[in-house]
Amino acid sequence: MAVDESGIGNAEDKVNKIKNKTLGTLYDMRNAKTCGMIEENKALGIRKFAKPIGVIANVVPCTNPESTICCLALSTLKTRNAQIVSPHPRTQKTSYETVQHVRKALEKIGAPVDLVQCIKQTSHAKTSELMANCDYAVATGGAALVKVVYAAGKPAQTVGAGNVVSIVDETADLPTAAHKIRLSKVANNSASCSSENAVALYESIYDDMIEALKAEGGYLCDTEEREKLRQYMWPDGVHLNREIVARPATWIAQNVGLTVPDDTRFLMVVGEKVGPEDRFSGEKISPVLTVWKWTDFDEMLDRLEQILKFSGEGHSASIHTENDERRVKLALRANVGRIVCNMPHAHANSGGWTTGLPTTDTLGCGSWAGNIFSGNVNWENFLNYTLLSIPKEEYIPEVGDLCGEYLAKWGRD
Amino acid sequence: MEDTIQEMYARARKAFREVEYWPQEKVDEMVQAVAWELMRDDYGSR
Repeated sequence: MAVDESGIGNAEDKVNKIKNKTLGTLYDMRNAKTCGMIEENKALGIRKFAKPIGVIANVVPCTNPESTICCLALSTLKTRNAQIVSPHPRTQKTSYETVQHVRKALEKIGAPVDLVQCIKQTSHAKTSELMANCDYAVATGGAALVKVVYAAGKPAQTVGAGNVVSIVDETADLPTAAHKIRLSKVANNSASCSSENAVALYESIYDDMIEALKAEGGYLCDTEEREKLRQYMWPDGVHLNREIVARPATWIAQNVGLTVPDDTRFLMVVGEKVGPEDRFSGEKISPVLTVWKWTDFDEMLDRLEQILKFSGEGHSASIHTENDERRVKLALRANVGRIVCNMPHAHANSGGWTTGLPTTDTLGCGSWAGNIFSGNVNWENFLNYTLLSIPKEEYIPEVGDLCGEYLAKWGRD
Repeated sequence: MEDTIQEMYARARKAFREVEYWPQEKVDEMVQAVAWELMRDDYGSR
């Protein structure tokens, strides 16, 4: 339905995503205690009580108008909150319809249906009014939305732009890595901010990996084709042409005037520079993959830092390697909320059946992206807690004990 | 459904007050009911 309404994405992928995300969210919260006393520490005399927040505004994007509601409806209901959905104008019918399903289920068991509502005729004014009046907001959308949400003055969960680079080194199984990258890259025509925006290939496997990506439906643009594509994607040199968001690669090729094989699933361009002078180094939200080559891993990490500073800081990164030292090095260096190893990135960073990452459609990107949280937004984000404290046995520590290592090394003076 | 924000908020608040002190069992039943409805085969494919 959303595909008909917005032209974004792919219907089969969307149906699978709704089921997987709903099931994953349900699975993650299956044993969670969210009501009444949830923890007790007898030694400290502390008992912890979970409390709901109240009415939560949920600002939903056009790139994911159903699944975002599924995940967040389960999360806010699990925590005994009410939710009002503010849909994107391009997909408001779809979001409204999804909410009707939630309400139908609530009605069936005699729960209050108004725990989940959806604005029917949305507008910027209504969204702003909602955010100013709610008790808490969660907004899945870009940097502009983050500013609007925080301007409303309520506590809020927000997200950042994704610009996932997938590093591939000489220890990776190339056909397997290429297949996983393709699965993630073409899922829902790259509507997700979690699909790879680039691959960074070690020089010794560069040619073989390009061939492996071609075998998966990748088409490598030559310099002239790259320039045509660039002009189509960024007509003014700055802003991404919204028409190309989540369209199939063949649709884009046809509109650009490129002759590509019918079975082309994604277009590849060679990355030239990092930053605004080469827009291909940033977020593309389309089946277009930028290809980087590296010779030294530390240099690649420096380059990744620059890429993320330009676009996607706080979001996610990916690596295909058998070398765990490189995985750890990447985790220490890259300012992102999660790093996915040897998996199809978009099917793992927001939860999946081969990863322990929590299921979500709302990826906090930390202070790097102006967010308060760098994790996968889930039911835990929608609770307040009351700590009940009774006296414990008095204990006053000696400062000398707590500063022991310092004093032993530097002395008391 | 009316979509005046003030009215929607008032209805949401009323619904919230009803479940504010619900026990875990009732909450979990509600979550399962909604999840089941969202994962039914006929949803999303229309």
